[in-house]
Amino acid sequence: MLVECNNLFKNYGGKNALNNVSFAVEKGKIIGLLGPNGSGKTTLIKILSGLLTASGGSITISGDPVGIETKKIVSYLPERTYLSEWMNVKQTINFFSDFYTDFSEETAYDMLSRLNIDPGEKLRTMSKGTKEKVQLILVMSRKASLYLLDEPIGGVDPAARDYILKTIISNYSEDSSVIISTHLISDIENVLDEVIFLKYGALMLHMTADEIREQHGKSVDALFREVFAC
Amino acid sequence: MLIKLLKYDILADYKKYCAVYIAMLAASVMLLLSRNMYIDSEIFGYDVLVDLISSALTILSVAACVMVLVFSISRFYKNLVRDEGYLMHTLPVHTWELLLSKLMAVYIWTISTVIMVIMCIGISTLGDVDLSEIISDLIEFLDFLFETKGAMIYIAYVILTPFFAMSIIYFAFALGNLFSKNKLGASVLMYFAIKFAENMLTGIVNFFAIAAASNRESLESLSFLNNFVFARFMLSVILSAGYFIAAERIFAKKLNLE
Repeated sequence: MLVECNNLFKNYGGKNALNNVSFAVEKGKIIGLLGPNGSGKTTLIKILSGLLTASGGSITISGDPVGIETKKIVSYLPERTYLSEWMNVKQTINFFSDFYTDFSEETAYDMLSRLNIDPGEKLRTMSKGTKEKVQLILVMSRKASLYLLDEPIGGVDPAARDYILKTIISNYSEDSSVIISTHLISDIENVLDEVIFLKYGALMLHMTADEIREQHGKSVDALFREVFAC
Repeated sequence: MLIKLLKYDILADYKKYCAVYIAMLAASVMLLLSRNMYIDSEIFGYDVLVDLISSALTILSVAACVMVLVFSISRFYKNLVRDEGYLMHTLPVHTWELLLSKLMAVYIWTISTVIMVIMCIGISTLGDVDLSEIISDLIEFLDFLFETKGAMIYIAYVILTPFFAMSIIYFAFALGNLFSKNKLGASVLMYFAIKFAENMLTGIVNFFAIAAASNRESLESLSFLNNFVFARFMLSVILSAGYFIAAERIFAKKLNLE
């Protein structure tokens, strides 16, 4: 197993952000982490990336508890722009190259040229959408074991969205898995192998996308709308 | 990894520092030239010009020192507490390396700023003072310091001052990070709270130190003064190390980015 998560809890000032969450992720899978706002998706991703420490339970990635060893093999894309404004794109590539041994500069420059992004452009002068594209390029240019993508397509136009999804599919391999958190279920439904539904911090469902279609007779998007109907 | 982190901490701000350093150098050269011209000239207004440039150099020198503090705090806050923290805290590095890199950058900018201020003073007063006399005075002063018992504490104090100043700020930011809202305001509040507690503690140490002195004569003796300064120095070292370790533990175990 690539990820093993057992009885995970996370409390924020008396509130349970994650409540007894257990699941496992195999290698070579694309998993949709789905749920309404405040369901604990981002909290779970932050714990997997090492940004948060769980209040209880255990979590391992490739057999290691979350720490420096797992940070070496986890490529994390947060929902906000995290690159330093003083840098240009080339400097961000150098930065990733300096800190991640699995980073491929060649892949990054190739993806930049496909999206018509100038490597010499300062991040300060870029639009939010372009910065998000740069971040995704950096994250997907790593040959990581686990990609954690928190709302990777929320802030970009539909054309770029297609390119990003293609990039995600083409970059992951049998040895790596991708966990994607998003509200745009219909856009990613076709690429998902498995689906995890979170509600109020608890795991409601963990099935393959095919099982959902067979057992429930509906798409992941339709099931989501039914389960989380207001 | 520490050196790589330091490289980016230096790269982040070097342009701003260089701009101020160039302005300081230009002001000191202008001051030198205008003063030399004034000596040989009777033209009205030269003395005003010299005063203006002299004031500009003084302001720039003070600004450069303040700049080190402001830029260092701003860099720490933006890079580790705000959005950039999402990248920095997921790098495969230890949390202590993130903090130590910031502290090392503070030392590099402090030393370079002090060198620049000394250079500018030297340039602007070129010809007015005997350089060899200053150097021999400096050597004499250093000899005195090294021979004087207790003087090393003062030197250590000067060397560790940036560490004392920054560790408390790092700790305040770490505590402010634990709040769910208005983290910056909470950090400022925490800074004053820590400073207040520290002042109380040093006040107690001072009280017991003075109380321990048997009479006024011993209170005014050099050995008492040396022991007193040493005790205060050690207290600062212990407290600052404590702040640094506590900040590292909080960022490692209780990171709470928005």
